[in-house]
Amino acid sequence: MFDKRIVWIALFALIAIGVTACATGGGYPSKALEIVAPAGAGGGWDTLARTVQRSLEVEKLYPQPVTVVNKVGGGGGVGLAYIFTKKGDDYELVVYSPPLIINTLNKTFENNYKELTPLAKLITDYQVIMVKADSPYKTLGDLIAALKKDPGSVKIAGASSPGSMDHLSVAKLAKAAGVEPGKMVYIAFNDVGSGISALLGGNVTCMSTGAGESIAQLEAKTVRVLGVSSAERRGGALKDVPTWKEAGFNVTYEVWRGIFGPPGMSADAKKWWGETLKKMAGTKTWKESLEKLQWVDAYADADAFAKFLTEEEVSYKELMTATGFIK
Amino acid sequence: MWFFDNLALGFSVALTPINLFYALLGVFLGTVIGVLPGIGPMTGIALLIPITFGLPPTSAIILMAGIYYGAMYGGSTTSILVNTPGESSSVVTCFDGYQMAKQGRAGPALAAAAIGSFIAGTFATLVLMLIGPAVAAFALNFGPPEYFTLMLAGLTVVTSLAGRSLVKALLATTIGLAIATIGIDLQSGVPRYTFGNPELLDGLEFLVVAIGLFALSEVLVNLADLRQAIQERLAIKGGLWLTREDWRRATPAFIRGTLSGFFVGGIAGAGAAVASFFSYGIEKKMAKHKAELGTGAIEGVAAPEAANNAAAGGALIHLLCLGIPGSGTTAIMLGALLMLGLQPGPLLFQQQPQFVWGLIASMYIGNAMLLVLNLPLVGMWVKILDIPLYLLVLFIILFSFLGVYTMNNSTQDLFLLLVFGILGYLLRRLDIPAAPIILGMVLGDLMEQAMRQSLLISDGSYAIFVTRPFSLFFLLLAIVSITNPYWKYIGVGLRRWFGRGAPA
Amino acid sequence: MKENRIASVVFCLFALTYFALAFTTIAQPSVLQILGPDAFPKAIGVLMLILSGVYVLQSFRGLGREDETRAAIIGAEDKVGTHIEWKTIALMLGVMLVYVFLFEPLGYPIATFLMFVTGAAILDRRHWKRDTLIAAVASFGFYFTFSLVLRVQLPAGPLRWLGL
Repeated sequence: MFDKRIVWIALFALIAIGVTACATGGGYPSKALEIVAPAGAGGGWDTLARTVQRSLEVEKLYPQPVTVVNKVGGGGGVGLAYIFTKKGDDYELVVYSPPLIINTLNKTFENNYKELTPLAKLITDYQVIMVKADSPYKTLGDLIAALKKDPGSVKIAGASSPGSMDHLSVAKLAKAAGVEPGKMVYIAFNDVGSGISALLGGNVTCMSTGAGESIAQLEAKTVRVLGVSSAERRGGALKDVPTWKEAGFNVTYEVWRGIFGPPGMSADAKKWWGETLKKMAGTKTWKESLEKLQWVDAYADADAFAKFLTEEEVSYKELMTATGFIK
Repeated sequence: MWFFDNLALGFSVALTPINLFYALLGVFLGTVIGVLPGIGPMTGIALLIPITFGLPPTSAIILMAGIYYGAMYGGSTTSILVNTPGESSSVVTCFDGYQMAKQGRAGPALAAAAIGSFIAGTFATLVLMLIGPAVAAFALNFGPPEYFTLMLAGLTVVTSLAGRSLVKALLATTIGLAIATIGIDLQSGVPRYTFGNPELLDGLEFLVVAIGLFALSEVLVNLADLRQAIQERLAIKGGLWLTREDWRRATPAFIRGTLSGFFVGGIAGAGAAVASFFSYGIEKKMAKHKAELGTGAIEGVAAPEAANNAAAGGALIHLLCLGIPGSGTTAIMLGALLMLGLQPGPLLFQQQPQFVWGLIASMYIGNAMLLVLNLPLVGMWVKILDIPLYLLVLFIILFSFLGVYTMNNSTQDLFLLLVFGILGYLLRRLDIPAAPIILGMVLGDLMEQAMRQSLLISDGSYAIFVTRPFSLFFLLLAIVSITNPYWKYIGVGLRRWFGRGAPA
Repeated sequence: MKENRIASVVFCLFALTYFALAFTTIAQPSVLQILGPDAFPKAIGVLMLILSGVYVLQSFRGLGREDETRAAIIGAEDKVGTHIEWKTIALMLGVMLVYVFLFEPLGYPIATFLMFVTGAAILDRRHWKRDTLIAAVASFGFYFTFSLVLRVQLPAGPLRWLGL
């Protein structure tokens, strides 16, 4: 039934592939690189990890193979625990965004992210608040006024559980406007799609979500975006949308994404990546990908990124204490 | 006629050699992804998106739609052959498909799965073409209250999954519901039953439980008595194709599965897994040979396989007509479309007619290709059953572990797989059905979240479930479905009562 | 039946534990809720307690005879035979457990190869040459298909140092 010769040939072929793929050379980097995406395939972290992988490969910035491994679970905690087992391993990178700080502060994570080696902040996105196109709320001011008058009358939808970005961003806005965040009615949906369905079906008043997620509906004129959380006006489809600041509320909210090395990364490797990531952020492949994915370039080097993270932590600590997520 | 003009435009786009090639490539890759353990349509598309970089948008979506459909077709293969579901939507196919294979009828089972998928896929494409936007707009009537009552109606399917004892089936359902409460609670962000374990925060993976309870427990049953198991195995008997009797029984099941799957999974947006369970429950109530379901009845393969494909087609309608992804897979496709510079939504039909109609035409072509590709494969797949049993057992172990590991890259999941495998074996010795555990897991979380979302919307009033027409309808459906078996007793009781009450 | 009696008591204890944990381990949420995170677990716990109670009654007092006319158990049509080869089962479960432990340290191809060969040796010793070949092709074949073609990285183990 089984032709032995074929099996042997296949086996030899496999070994041959293995031998030819063997690595050569010295100095850093001399081995294959692994980028950890702390969530499943298709999500924001995974897309970033794979975009970095592609840019490094296409632009020939990393001389060895680059692989992406998905460590799923615990809001990124499983990935963090994994990278903490790789202390001092210069061939491991990981991508993260604000939940890294949020989940450290609310003690979902067992490890402290501060031990990671920040390498660069790469991109950013913003949050928006949108209502259905025929909603009586024309401006962000209208909505906040209603929220002030009767917090229970405004049902806010988001695509993740309370205490995560969709909720905290709107809580930050409410707090700045003088509304007590604890009185808001926040309804969590499984994903952005079911949240938008509930909004268009008239089940909720408004929705808090990422700016990128709102564009399809905005262009189809099924929703009205009341405000975007950036410091300055966005271009493209969002060019007519006022920022929260312009609408009279002095807050911003940034959904940054950056790349880290494991705890105890060597100084050589840190320096090498500082230069390489800067180079990568300027390449055509990287810029084209950003444009296609509608991401905003927000490159910052290791030192600036570390400083930024410290500021973020202070800001989140204050916000999360006010909303009761830190007791 | 605008309609034929559009369709002609569509076929002129889809029939170009290059697009035909992408459709073929898509359905082929999709079939491979569907057959491989662990990698479902969602992961498959996410991984293959880089291939679509640089393709023209129409070719890219034709490729992706092909992968999507192909994966839905391929998912049933391992369910039928080795009781190992490749994705969540093909768990139900195990129930009767594997029994058919054990009786030497793997050929007709695989053929029925392919035909059911073809019918449902073609139906969904027809709906998209004729009344897509209207259907999509109608779908917005389904909010959290409707989901809750729909899931409640879905729970009544448990009575059809019950084995020899209803108490044991209900007990199994509550275990499934209890498993569904593990993890971070979506509405409050509070962790439940996680015992400080970070991997439990996202809950137990549905397929880990399903593969453990079905595939691994089957391995243990075989190992417990390998000699007996070898004797019981039947060689492939009869043809690989459906007999006339098969056709007579499967045809109504195809139709019921397609319609219920399209409604529950597509329009109401409950997803392909829930849709397949619903259609199985409907067969158990409506099929002519309902008593045979669970022992290898062809209806038990035909209906859920049609249902999960109809649901997939429905999700695609949501995506293209509303720009709202109706499932995890379509969410990833939305991302890919945006990358290609296309905005799915109501405007897509007007702004990009050659894109939309090209896709529609290619969906017909892709479905036909899949049928042509899959039917000859049936002969190849059933050969797998000819390999010695001990090797087959080892391959099922290999497949189960590989599939579970690739979902989350977690060895903890592998431990859980072993635990559920042993549990599944013990449950079988106790005559406790495992299927209701899976049903409880599928429905539990959706049901709880929908109920709590509804109550937040209504400021705590339970009236929201009866004041909305669709919600009321599902609620009545649930009540009828539960009480239905007892009506005859009520009738008898009433007659007796009145018989006694009336003076002689 | 003895098995059913033991099982019914185990289910009762499980239900009780689940119900008790709903009161003790679920934290109060810091956001507005109509039904809290503990409402469903408590309701499921009550249901499970009632059902396992009925199961205990049935298994100890023989109440409610099993309805043999009802259709088969879905997904497992026949009752499992009582004959068990404990040695085979224990050995294979052991192999699988070791497989889990070695999955990441040894890497997918090597761990899978070892699992397959050991399993084949336990179950059938007559065709060891053929089985070893199949094990090698299957384990390395799957590894390369996943890691190189699909870019789903499986644990490489020592192979990582070869640059694979």
